[in-house]
Amino acid sequence: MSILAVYNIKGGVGKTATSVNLAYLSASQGEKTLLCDLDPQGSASYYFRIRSPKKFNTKKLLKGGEHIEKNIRGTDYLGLDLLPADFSYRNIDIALDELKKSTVRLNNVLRPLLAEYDRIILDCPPNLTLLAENIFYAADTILVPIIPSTLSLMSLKQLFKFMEKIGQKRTKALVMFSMVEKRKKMHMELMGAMRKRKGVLQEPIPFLADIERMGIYRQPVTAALPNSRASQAYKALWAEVCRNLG
Amino acid sequence: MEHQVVDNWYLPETMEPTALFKRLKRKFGLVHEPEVHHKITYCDSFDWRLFANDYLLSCVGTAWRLHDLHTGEIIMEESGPKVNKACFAKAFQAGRLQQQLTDILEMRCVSPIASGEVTVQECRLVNKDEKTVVRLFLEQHQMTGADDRLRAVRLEPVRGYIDELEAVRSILKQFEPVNRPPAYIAMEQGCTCLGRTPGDYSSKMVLHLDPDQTARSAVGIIYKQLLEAMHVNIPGVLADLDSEFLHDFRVAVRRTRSGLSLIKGVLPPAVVEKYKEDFAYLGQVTGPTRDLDVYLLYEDEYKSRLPETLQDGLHSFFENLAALRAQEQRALVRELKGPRVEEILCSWQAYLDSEDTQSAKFADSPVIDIATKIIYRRYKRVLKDGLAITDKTPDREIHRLRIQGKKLRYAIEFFASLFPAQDIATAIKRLKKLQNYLGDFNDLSVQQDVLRNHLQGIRPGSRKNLELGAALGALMSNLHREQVKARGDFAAIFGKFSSARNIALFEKLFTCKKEAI
Repeated sequence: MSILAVYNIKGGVGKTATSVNLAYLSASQGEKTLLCDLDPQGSASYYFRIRSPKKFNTKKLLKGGEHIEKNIRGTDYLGLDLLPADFSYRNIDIALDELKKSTVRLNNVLRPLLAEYDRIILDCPPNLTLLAENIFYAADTILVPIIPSTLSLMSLKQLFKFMEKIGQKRTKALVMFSMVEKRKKMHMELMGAMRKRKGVLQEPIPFLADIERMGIYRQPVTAALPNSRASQAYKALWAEVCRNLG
Repeated sequence: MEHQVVDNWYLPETMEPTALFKRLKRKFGLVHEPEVHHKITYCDSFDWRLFANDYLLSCVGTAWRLHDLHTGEIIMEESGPKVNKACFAKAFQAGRLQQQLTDILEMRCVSPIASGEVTVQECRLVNKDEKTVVRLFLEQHQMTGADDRLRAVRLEPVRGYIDELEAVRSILKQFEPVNRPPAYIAMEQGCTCLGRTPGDYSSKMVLHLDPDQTARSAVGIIYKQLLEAMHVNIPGVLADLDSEFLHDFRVAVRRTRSGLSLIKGVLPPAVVEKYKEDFAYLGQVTGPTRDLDVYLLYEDEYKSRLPETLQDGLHSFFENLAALRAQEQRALVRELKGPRVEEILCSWQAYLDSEDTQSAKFADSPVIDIATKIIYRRYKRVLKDGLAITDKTPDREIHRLRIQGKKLRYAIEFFASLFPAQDIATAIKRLKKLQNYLGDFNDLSVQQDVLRNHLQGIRPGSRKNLELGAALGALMSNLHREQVKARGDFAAIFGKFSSARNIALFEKLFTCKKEAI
């Protein structure tokens, strides 16, 4: 029973692809899983062909309880449900700011759901705001996908600094490599150097066309093409994440 | 009702699934998954232990599923042996299912009770985004020997798509809802084809006697039921499926013998004499195999009584017993198929179906009078014998008391339906406590005797025999210690049975009510 957030300050690093596929793998192993799409763009919801319910919005999310439960949708896969994103999430920071105990709100609404779900996975929007603080507080583990590049390393440093500032332990974060291109020397070198550090996962997710095409067939690649290279990579990564969750 | 089967409908024979799909297509996109087709076998013990515990056990290949009987829900699913005429819990993979089966079945095996073919077609109903909103399953059960196939439509909701579910429900509303899981109905149908009905056998006596009927007609009903129990258990004894067939057969024989000696003056003396002897013979020929069955059932318990270092020594002991049992079983089969057994069972049946030419003394008395008299007499006897036992009384008196207890128990069971059910249940429960104690005490003695006999037959010399001797010795001392302890408990156990509260209950139930009339 744990909450796993997939987070990075930067956008376009494969957060949604990672959350969608890991959520599918978690459910297919018999763990009842809830994927929360917190990104106002709603890409995870789109991958599962789930539209945001008409009466669902930021306010309902932050109220929690039945307001969330009513809006959870079953995906096409057994044991995997999704809490769809709503466009109103783009103003979630303002909404949070107006509330008391604004940094623990998300935790307070998500924790009770662990009575029903074995695992909750959060697909987070890219930023470093009050919502991020909420996510760090609520999550038991934060999975940080990075593309092995110099800019990514910089953002990782910023992230750790931020975590320190808000009083979260660095050990909560697990760094993973995403969109890795074998032919790029820099990717391989940076990865080689980083892999030795603590809290860095060994299994990379390569940059693959099958993953990009998820937007076309609108299914996790692990479900649509279970024997593809992409699926193998996600499976290996998920196994490593599970080992680290303890 | 807490058990409820929801979203299940019968699909009428006249309706083609295509017609249903056509109707659904007006509202949804349909995605047909490949049809799944498999041979299914439903299994239970001969005495329906799973059914009695509200379970249904099905097997497809080597995949076994334990369902909730009333909702059809799969509670456990694990792999096990290929289905055969006798599957024991031991043969299943260690796990939750095996544990559950062990707890319910004990020494019994499960055998096929119905088989057939099941075809399941899953159809996903999708919305305009091609998102699954409802899952629909079309199930067809064709049981072996059944004329009709059973067709049902089942819906599985997808969370959050209630409006869509309601829309499908309203389309299916025209069909008759299924109030029990299709698997349950199919199992029942398949059983009927094999000549059985769920719950049709129990080792308990289930009689409905009328207090005013004549004693002769009542004992006729009792003996017929016991004879039926013997008949139905014989095939299982011959096929040697599990040890309970023989056990139940012997219990029916013993009950009949008890009846013949306890219920006096209802059947003509000549008849009683003949069949007392005949049923004694049946008891005698079935005895050796049963004794060995009992010892073999002790295997796990014996091992648990010994330290690990000594457990290996028992191996040859049980091997030896198993070989002996195989031999006895062959002799038993020969005997059961022989002319004498056939003569006994056939002539007894013929006698029970006929009228007495000569009426016995109490044949026409109301059965209630005979019953109270017999039970009360047996009760007094148990009380008298038990109260006479002190710490210094030899053990054999306790064994005698066990026999008396058994007679009382049989007498109560014969006539239980004549008395208030609640009181009888209480009386039996209290008697059972005493009987359990006496049974265990007797077991401890008998087991020590068996071990002693076996020990005497061992020749010293080999390492194997040395280990066997050590194991048997350790077991005997362990059993002896337990018996000594149990002997000390007698006063307390019997004290409870002979308490004022208990005496009052038995007096109330079984003393003659003539004064009251």
